[in-house]
Amino acid sequence: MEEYKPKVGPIKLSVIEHALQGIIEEMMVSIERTSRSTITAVAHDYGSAIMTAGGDLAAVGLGIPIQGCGLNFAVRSTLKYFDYDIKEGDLFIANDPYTFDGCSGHFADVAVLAPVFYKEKMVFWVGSKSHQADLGGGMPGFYNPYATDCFMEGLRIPSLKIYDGGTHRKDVLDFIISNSRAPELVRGDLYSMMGSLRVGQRRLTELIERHDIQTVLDAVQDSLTLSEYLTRKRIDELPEGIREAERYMDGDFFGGPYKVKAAVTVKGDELTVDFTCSDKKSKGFYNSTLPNTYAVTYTAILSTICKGSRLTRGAIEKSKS
Amino acid sequence: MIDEVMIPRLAPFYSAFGLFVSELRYETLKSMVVETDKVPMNVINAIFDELEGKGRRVLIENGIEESMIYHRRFLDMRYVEQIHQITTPIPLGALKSLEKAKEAFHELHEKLYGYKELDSPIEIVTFRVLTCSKLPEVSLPKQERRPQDPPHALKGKREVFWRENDGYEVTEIYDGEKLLHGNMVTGAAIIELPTTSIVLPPKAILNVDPYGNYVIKANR
Repeated sequence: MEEYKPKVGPIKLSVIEHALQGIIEEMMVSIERTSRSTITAVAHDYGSAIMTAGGDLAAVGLGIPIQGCGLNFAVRSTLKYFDYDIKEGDLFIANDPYTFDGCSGHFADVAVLAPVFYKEKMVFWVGSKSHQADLGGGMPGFYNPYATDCFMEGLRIPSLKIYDGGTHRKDVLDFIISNSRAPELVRGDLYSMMGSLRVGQRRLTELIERHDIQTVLDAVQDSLTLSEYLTRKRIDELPEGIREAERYMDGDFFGGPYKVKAAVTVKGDELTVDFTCSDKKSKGFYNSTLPNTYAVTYTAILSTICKGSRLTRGAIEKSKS
Repeated sequence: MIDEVMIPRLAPFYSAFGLFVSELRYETLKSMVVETDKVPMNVINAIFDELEGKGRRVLIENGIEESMIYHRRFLDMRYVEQIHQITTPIPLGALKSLEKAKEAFHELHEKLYGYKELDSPIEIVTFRVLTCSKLPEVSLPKQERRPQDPPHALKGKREVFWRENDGYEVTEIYDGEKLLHGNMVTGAAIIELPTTSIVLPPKAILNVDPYGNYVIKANR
């Protein structure tokens, strides 16, 4: 595998990659400092991400990694749902794990997303996702042990516009919040995340103005390609073959214990994780949705095996599930 | 590429010098969680008077003249039920209302975090005062302009390894203390001072400015 030489050069690439991380840090801090809920401010069950116009992760902020790493799903599903007809000043909210490829791991994790435009062209997306206190459902707090379908868990939001071309859809936000047993906490946290998107948009625009748009876009593509190269290189070093491991989850009200089994295949410079040998799904709420499984696997592999790579979409192909 | 570098005359003890020209500051604070709409103004003003009084006494005990003392006031505030506060600067003097303080908080919140909640109540968490001393005038001595050539400052010559020239070369060594405003040295050279050494690469040009600072141009 030939070493990848970044188009913008290694110094410029490093400057822009670190600038993106700096923007993510600022978005993350602004959520922590304005939240009204300890889930966010103390437990850090949230994350932010900067994505390309097509919805690929370019930079991720890690609170609980599933949050930031799953935001690309939300953007891609939103793009498909709205037929790619996205305007400057739009801002979306979503929590559904099932529409298209899903927007979130479970209903509790509510994502807010906004496109970043520069000179009328869509160039990036910014997103934040955090675990909310409550959005209705059979029991307070989303973990309804008696639920046998998602409708018993809470309010399902495939993708909704809270801002339409700059105009605030107060009716949409109020509708969502009216379904919560903790409306003030949820309102506070949603505002907090929306604020972080403004911070992200502002800083990205400043970055583009400092470096010029083509350089920034090229640097992001370089980052994606470089992360793919570094990940493949690392996988190539691993011994080939299949390795398996299984763990059991405690029973829920409907059965169990449940077996979760992973078969990891390394062949050449590709690594595949296969969960199909696990037990069939539970009637209860234990099942892992696609965005959740993807984000967890992604985090596990990148944080253990692939040291030195970057948390971008370049580092991983979407799992074939 | 960096084309010009300035090395202050005071470089070896620049940070200690900074200490001498810095303000004395003493912080006093009082924590009291109270909603801005629910606290009477006489309570607010009494707290600030108390904190400013304490700060003033401490600075005077440390030898600061009363006329040099001034205060800066802050309220650490948040929207009710938020967990973290923002330290918000507020006006001095007897306050008639907290309207300006609340406005300042909304604006600072939006500037830092991207949004504000004009309809949400605000609470104070901590009253904060910085009592400071004005700085005495500091003027550094200006030097008269000397001729460019500084033979008086030349200490001698010795062999020095230069990566740029791939080996050892006989190089001029200067006494940095004897280099004054107007003097110029062309690299390669070494300028020695009691507390530091300046390495002047081949082709670089060093000039001394009116305050004795060494200004180097790379001159590639």
